[in-house]
Amino acid sequence: MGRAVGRRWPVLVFALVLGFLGLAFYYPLAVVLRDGVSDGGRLTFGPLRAVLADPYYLRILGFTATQALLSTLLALALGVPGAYLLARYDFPGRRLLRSLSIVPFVLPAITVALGFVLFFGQSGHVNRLLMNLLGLPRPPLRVLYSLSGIVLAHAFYNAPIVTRLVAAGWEGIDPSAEEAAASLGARPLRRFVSITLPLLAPSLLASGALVFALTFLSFPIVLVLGGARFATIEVEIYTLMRTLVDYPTGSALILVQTLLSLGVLYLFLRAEGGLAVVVRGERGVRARPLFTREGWAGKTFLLAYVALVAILFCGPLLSVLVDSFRVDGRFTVASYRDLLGLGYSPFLGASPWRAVENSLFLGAISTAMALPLGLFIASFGVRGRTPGRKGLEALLLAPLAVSSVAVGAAILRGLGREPLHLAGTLASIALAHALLSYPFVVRTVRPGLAGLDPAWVEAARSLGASRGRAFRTIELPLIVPSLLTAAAFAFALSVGETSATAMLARPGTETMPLAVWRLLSARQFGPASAMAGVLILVSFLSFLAIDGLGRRKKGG
Amino acid sequence: MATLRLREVEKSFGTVRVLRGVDLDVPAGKLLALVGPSGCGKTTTLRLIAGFDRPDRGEIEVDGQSLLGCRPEERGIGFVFQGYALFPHLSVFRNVAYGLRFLSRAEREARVRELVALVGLTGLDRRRSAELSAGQRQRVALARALAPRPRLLLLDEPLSALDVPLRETLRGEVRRIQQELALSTVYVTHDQGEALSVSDRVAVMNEGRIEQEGSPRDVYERPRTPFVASSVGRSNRLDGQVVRVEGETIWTRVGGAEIPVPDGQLELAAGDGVLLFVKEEHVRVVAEGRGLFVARVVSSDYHGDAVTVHLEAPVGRLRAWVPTKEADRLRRGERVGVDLPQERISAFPVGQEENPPVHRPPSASASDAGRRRRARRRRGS
Repeated sequence: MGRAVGRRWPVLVFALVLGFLGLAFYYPLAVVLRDGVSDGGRLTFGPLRAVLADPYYLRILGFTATQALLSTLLALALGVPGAYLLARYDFPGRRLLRSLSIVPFVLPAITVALGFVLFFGQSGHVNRLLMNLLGLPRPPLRVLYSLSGIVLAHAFYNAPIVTRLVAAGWEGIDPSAEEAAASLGARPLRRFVSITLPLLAPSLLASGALVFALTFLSFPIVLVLGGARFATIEVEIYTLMRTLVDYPTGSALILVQTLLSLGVLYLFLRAEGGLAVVVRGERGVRARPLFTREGWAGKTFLLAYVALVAILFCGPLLSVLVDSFRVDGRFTVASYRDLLGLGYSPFLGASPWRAVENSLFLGAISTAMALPLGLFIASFGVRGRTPGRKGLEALLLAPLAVSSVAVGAAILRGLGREPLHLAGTLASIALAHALLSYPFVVRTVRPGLAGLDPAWVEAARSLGASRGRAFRTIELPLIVPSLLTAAAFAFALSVGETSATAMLARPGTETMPLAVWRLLSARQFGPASAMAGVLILVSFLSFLAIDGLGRRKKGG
Repeated sequence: MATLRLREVEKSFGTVRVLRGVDLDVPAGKLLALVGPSGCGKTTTLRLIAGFDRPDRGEIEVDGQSLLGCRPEERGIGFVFQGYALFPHLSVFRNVAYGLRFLSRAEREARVRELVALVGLTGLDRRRSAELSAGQRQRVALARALAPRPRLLLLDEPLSALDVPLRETLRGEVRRIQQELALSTVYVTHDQGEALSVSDRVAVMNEGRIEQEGSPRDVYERPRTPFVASSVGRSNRLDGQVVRVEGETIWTRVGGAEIPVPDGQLELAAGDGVLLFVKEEHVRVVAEGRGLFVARVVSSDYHGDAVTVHLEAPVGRLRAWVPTKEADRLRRGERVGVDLPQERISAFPVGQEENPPVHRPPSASASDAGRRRRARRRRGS
C-alpha cells in the first residue's frame, strides 16, 4: 500500500510505527541490556563477564542447548512421518492432521505441561493404569522432573511444526524429478538419498531451526516439568529478576540468550529462503490413496503413527479435561463452579474469574494493537521500495529475536518505573503481548498481500475505479480473510502467553495461564484443570477460527 | 534400435477412462509423433511406457519383450519431461551424469562431455538449472535422457515452454540427434505442425484412442476419421446428403449446391447423411461462372504470404487459403466461383463421428498374458 496512498502519509505512518517500537521495545530493551554490561553506569561488562565465568550459569547454558537439541531431534523424528503421509497420500483425516499443525502456536504450553503432569506424573493416569494392570506396588514410569520429561513434552508440542513445514517442502518437490531419476536407472533408495533428501533439506533445516529456537526459549514447560533441579536460561532469568531481584545478572543472561537465539533465527530464515528455491513442477502432486488393495503396509504405518500421536498428544490433554470434572474420584462440576463463583482464591491472590476476564481483555486489546502494526509492516515488506528495505524490515521484526521473558523484563525495567509506572498493570502486559504477536500477524498477512497481483488494481483502474475504490473493492476483500486469521492468531497467542506475563503480572492482573501455573504449583489439580479447561476452550475456538478462515482463503 | 508395441492399453484414473484401448507401433529407429488435443491421453500413454503408471489392461513390449514386469529404472527408456524436471540441486554435469553411475569416473566424464557437446552446451556444465535459459534447460534434459544410451526415447511436449523461433531450431536439433543415433522415439506434442515436420510416423489421438496412424503425408492428405479430417490442418466442414451414386462418384447435396466426392470405400446410398471435409488450401477461388457454385467474398485475414478468404456460399460459410499475390484481385463483396477438387474432399457417413472405429479385434491370448503378469506383480509387491 506504499503506492496506494499519495506520497506523504506512508512516511508519517512509518515514523509513527518506528516511534512506537522505539518507545515500547527498543528503549526498554536498551535499558535492560545496559544493566547487563555496566557497573554503576560505567561500561565494564562486569555482569556479563561474571555470568560467563560462573560454572553454574554455564551449566544452565549447556542444559538449555542440550534439551533444545534433543527436543528438536525427537520432534523431527515424530513429525517427518506425518509430513510424508500428508505430502504423498490421501486418507481419511488428512485435512485434520494438516490443520493440527497450528496447535503449538494456539494451545498454551502451560496446558501441555499440566497435561503431562496429570498423564505421566507419579500418580498420573499412565502410572495408575500400569500399576492396576501389572499389580505393581510403585509407579513404574518416572519421566517428569527430568531431562526426558522436558524433551518428550517439547517434542510432542513442536512435532506438528515439523510436519507442516516438511510436508510443504515435500509437496513442493516436482514428482517428475524422482521419475526422471527412475528413468535414468536409480532404484528407490538412491532416488530418496540423491534427489528427495537434498530437495527436502531446506524444509528439514528450517523446521529444525525453528523448533530449536522455540525450545531453546521455552518457559512454561521447563518451569513445570523441570522441577527444582532443571532450569533453562529463560527460567533462570525469570527467577533472577522476579524472585531474587538480581537485575544485572538477569540482564547479562538476556544478552547472552538473545545473541544465541539470533544465530538460530538467522539459520532459520536462511533455510526458509532456501525453501522458495525448490522448483515447483508443472504437474501438481497427485496424493495417492493410502488404503489401496495391497496397501496393508500403509495402513499399518498410519495406524501405528496415529496411535502414537493419539496416546502421547491427546492423552495429556484429555487428562486435563477429565480431571477438571473430577474431585476425589467422583464426577463433579465443582471445580468449574469455584472458578466462576469463588470470590477469592488464596493461591491466586484474587478471584479465579478475574484471571479469565484479564485474559480475554488482554487478548482483545493486544490484538487491536498488533493487527495494524503487523499489516503496515507486512505491506512495507511486500510493496515498499525504500533502499535498504531488508535491513529495515529486520529492524521492524526485531521482537522475534528476543525471548518472551526478555520482552517482559524490558518492559518491567524500561517502562515499569517513573515516569510511566507501568509495572504490574494490564497496560504493560497488553504492550508485551502486542509486541510478541505482531510478527505473527506479519507472517500471516504477508502471503495474502504478496498474492495480490498489481495487475488487478491496474485492471480496476482501467475500468474507471479510483485508487480508493480499487483498494476497497479489490484488495481489501482479498486480504480480509488473512487479516481475520491473523486476528484470531494474535488473540490466541495473547491468551496463551505465559512468559512475559509472568514477568509483569501481579495479583489482580494475572491471566489464565498464570492461574493454571499457580494452582498447579499449589497442587490444586482440580481447579488447575478447570482453569486449563477454559483456556483450552478459548484456544480451540481460536483454532477453529484460524482453520476455518484459512480454508476459506484457499477455497476462493 | 528397438521396436515398441502397445496393444489394447487401457488406463483409468478413478472414474475417468483416460485410455480406451491404445494400439501403437514404433518401428526401429523411427520417430513417432503422438498428437492430439490436451486431455486426450498422450502424456498418460508416455507415462505408461516409461513405467511411472501402470496400465489397467493391455500389453507394452519393446523388441517383443513385455515391459510390464519392469520398474521404471529397469526399462532403459529415456524420458524428457515437459517441465524438464532437472534436478535443481545438481549442476548440469551432475544432472547429465546421473544415469551413468556404473561407468568408471573417466568414462563417465568422457560421456558427459560428449553429450554436452552433442546438445551444444559445452562450457556450461558447472551451472545449475536456475542459471540456465529455458532453451538450455531443454538441451540439458535431452542430454541427460540420452546419456545412459536408452533403447527408446520418450519426449513429452519437450518444446511447449519455448517461444516460436527457438522451438523451430530445437525441433530440428532433436530430429538431427534422433536420426544420428537412429533412436526409436515417441514425441508427444499438441502442435500438429511440429508433429508433421519432425516425424517418420504420426499417430493422432483423441479421447483415449488412436484415431489414425500413418506417415505425416498420409495423415494430412488421407484422413480416415472425421476427427483427423477436422483437426489436422485447417479444414472446412460441410454437412450434406447423398443424392445419387454414379460409378466412382458420389453426388452429395450441401445447402444449395451439389458436390461430387470420390467413392473410396464408403458404402453410401441415396438419402444417407454425409460429412465432408476440405482443407482451406484446396478451396479454389475461380472466376464467377466457373467451378461448382458461386460465392461472395465476405472478408479476408492477411497472414503475409497468404490470405484467409471468408466466403458466403450456398453450402454455408467457407474459408479459402489463397497465396497473397493471387488474393490481391479479390474485393470484399465480389462474386467469385468456387471449385472443390473431388480428390481433395474427405467424406464420412454421418454417425461415424460419435463412434470412432476400433482398429483391431481384441486377441484373447495377449490380454491373458497381461493379466497373468499383473497378478504375478501384485503378489510380488
